[in-house]
Amino acid sequence: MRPSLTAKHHLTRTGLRCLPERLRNPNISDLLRGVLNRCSHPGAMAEGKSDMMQLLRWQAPRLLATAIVLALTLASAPGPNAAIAVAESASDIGISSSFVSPSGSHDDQLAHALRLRAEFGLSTDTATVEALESDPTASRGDLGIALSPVEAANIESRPNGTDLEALKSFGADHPRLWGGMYIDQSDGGIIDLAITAPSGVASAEVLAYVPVGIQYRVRTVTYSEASLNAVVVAVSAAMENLGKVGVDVYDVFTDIPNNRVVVDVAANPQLATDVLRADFGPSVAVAVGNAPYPTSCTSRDSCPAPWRGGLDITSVGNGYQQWCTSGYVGRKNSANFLITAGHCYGQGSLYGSFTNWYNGASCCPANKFVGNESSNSYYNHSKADAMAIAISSSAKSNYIYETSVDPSYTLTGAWGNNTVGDSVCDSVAHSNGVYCGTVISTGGSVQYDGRTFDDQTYASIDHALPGDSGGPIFSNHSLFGELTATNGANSWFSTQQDIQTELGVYPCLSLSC
Amino acid sequence: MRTPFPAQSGDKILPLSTQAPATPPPSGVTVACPVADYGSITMLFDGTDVTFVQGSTQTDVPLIWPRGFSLVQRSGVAMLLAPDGSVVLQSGQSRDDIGSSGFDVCLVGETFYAPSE
Repeated sequence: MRPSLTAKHHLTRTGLRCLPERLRNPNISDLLRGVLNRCSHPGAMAEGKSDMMQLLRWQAPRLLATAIVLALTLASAPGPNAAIAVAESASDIGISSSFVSPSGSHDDQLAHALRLRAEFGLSTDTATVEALESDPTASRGDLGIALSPVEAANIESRPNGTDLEALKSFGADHPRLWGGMYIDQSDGGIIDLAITAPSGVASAEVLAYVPVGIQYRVRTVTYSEASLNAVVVAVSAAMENLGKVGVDVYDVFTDIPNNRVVVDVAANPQLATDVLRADFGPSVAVAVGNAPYPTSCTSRDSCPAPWRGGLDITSVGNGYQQWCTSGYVGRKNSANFLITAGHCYGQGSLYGSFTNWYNGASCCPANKFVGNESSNSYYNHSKADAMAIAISSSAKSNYIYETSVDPSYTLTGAWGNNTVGDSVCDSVAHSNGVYCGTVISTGGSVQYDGRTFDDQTYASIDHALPGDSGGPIFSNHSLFGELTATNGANSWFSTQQDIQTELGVYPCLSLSC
Repeated sequence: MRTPFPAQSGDKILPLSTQAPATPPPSGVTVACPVADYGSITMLFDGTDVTFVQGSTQTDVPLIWPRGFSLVQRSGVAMLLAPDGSVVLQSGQSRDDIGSSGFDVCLVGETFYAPSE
């Protein structure tokens, strides 16, 4: 049984995944290894400032709606969050120039800024944001939106993964007590710590691991993260038998903010709930997923999940259709993404923004849905013209489509330091082939679409057609980057290392990723 | 500066949207063309106006052609000419290798048309 997934239903929870690999290797040791790889450290979802952006994009409403207990905070200490709560007005900032977006139309950029601001708990006053976005001197920082000095300082002060190492170790050392943690960016970047004991009992112990100056809250939950992960493993291992009693499981994952295990099923949610809770306990919640599409990968246009590099991908925006090539699958914390070129996202209001991506030449059959644009680094002086499309964690792979004979060429390494003379190849959809050359120069600045992209690598891959954008650049099973541009003679690519820096997405170099 | 190919005797010059003069890039910056794809583009001519239609969506695409491109009516047929006089498209024809992102065309097949002063 190979329960493939469509992604649509899962996008709402991608940021919460802690899903063991179980689609291809459904034995318990692999399952456990998958859990340990991605779930055992409690900070699996809290490793970067921008990482939580994805999580909160989908989870903020639910998190806020189900906000549980704030047993301990440092509320008495006025942190940066307090400062940001004082809304700044456009007139206070003293800017009145008309807003000209640096990366798209006024409406698109404003909407993007407002969306990110909501996710990060910043002011969403339209006039204020519009004024800031019009200010060429405004700081843009990691978020890529204009920030006031106070906001920029606030974002900079928020914790990241390295700040939380001690808490991760606490969780690892206290698996029965530890309910997990995440960064609640919508609430000023506060660390949400879940423990299974009454907070008063455990707080002193937990507090010793909280870095100085980090805001946090502690809530009491019923289940430890370890116990939830164990349920995930058990459900995954039982999928085949569950199918025999009418419970077709598509996906199962740990939901830290809601302290539960979510199981996606094909149908019959009541039956599934009864069976799963009887077998695995009350921590299981059931959702109805989408139909699988179990076909094989026969061409760049017809290649179902798991997603991979080298596929023809397409999207419609504002009535127009655009094609690009998928680059590779990556991971950020427990979420997975398909990387392609950032300019594939589009240009703004005239040409539209291309957010919903499908595999194939024609758009847009539901059973070929890949995922939605999640983030991109398509801005002036970005080091990577890249876009991350959120995909189901069950649809990840470390494959590149090379030919119909070898549609699953594996990536097992990622090359970080391109050197002149390196041999590199691409695998591209419109040209429908693999084309190779050598690195001619590194660290170049390339201009197109009114933007300059820095630290680009120039290679003598002399065949690039429209629609090849985003294709993987690789050699000998190592990933170098993704194709972005051409001058008709040779090609440019963004390095995978810069894509990591810009988007926080690391290439999948194994199936379990 | 790239200029249109000289019209032949009998050609009627038709209006064509072309790119504005470009400012040279800063020193050390190279100009390139992103390789996203519009898919199949068909050039239609109703005797007066030329439109470029995306085959998959049947949507008029307001493409902006590189400087030096021109549009002429020759023997009743509309022809899109590259600066070297080669015919890029003529009315009723399609091609699926026109690329860039946005509406600014910078790649036709494997030929790159850099922004021009």
